[in-house]
Amino acid sequence: MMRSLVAAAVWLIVAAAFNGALSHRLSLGWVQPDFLLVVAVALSMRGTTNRAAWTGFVAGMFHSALWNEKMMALTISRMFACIASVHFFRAFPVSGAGAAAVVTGAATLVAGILYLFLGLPTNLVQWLVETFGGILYNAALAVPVYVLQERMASRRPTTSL
Amino acid sequence: MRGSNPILVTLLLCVLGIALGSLQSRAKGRIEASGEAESQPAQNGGVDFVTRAVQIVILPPTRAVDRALTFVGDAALSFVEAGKLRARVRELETTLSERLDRTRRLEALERENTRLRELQKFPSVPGFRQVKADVIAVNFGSQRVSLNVGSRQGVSPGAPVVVPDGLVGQVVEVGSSVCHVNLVTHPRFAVGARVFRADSQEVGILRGRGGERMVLTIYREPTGALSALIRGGDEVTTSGLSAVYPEGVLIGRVAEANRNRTTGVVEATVVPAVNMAKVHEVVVLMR
Repeated sequence: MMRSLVAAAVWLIVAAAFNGALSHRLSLGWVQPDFLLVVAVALSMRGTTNRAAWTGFVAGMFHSALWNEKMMALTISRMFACIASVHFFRAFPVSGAGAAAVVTGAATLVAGILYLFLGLPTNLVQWLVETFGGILYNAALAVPVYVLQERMASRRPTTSL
Repeated sequence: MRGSNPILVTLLLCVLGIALGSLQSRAKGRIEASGEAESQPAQNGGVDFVTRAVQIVILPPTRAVDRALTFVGDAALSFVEAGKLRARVRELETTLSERLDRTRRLEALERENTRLRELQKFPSVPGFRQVKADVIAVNFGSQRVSLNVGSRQGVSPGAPVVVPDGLVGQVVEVGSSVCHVNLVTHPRFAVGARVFRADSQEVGILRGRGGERMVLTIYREPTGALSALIRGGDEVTTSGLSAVYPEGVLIGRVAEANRNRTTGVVEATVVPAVNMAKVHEVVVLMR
């Protein structure tokens, strides 16, 4: 239990570092990858709702702390996105990298819609481009993250992320 | 956590999120109210304690990743730039090589120009026509040079060859557009010569001896001091006593002189005035 918590924390800290240092370098116009959301969804989708809620909440807190803004919007939107990912993943007929990509895309959409109402972005067009571009970007990123997590989980069978 | 009600946990986290958001907004509001800029860096003023605590955890790895990415980016850029720089160096080397070649050609032309200008200064000799010529071959072993003028330019055997420094030699063979010249040091070269001094105008015969020496022979009674006749450093010029050479063309300078006490014959070693190795253009004097 403790081990999996530490592993999840490390994943989220690394994702936060990537969000702060790498996201803007990989941006395509307004569209940036959201490493924190991708990792949070990957950590959540095979777990329980409670775990997903906490993971999403911490991911939102990290995201907010990076830029010192929108704490409420980010924590709540990420939390519900992660909870949603659990149900999306369960509803998916097969599990795998493809399923992870679709679930991540859907979770990004959930997070984006919630952020629209809670964070009240000033530019609606920018929000649209960021959200729908982010769906594709995050879905693509979810594949290597899923594969990496699978590989790490297979090395340490006692540790479940 | 596993046994907790998910709805309760979610609600609890929602409330916590709202509280944290409120805390963050209040901290930022305090800063705005105090008149500080809103665009302060995140880790400075206007940060609530929760955000600050999270930043303590996530900002160091963020900076480390940022530095690593910057380093990798710079290294990649340097690698790309290195190729361009190598190409630029090659281009500059080629340009430099071309410029050096051009400079060498210009220097050669400048030297030629200087020599030709000096030739232009060569005074006209009454009764002689000047034919300017280039040295096209030099054979110091046989004490001969070849010129790029011949019978087409009116050159004939026996014509003296001169440069502003003095006498070079005499044309001995002539082709249609080439001629060969025996240098003054050639063993078969001979000319009437005069010691050019205010108090002595001794006349003798000067002959080549091979190498870089000539010998001036003066036939005279064995009377008086030798130094009164000739001494080291005296200039030796053409005597003008024949129709072949004009008078007063410098041949060389006396290195040393000896006299045979019995016959009275004076023999002086003369060093040519012209450095044959540096002769490129000459003047052939034609009657």
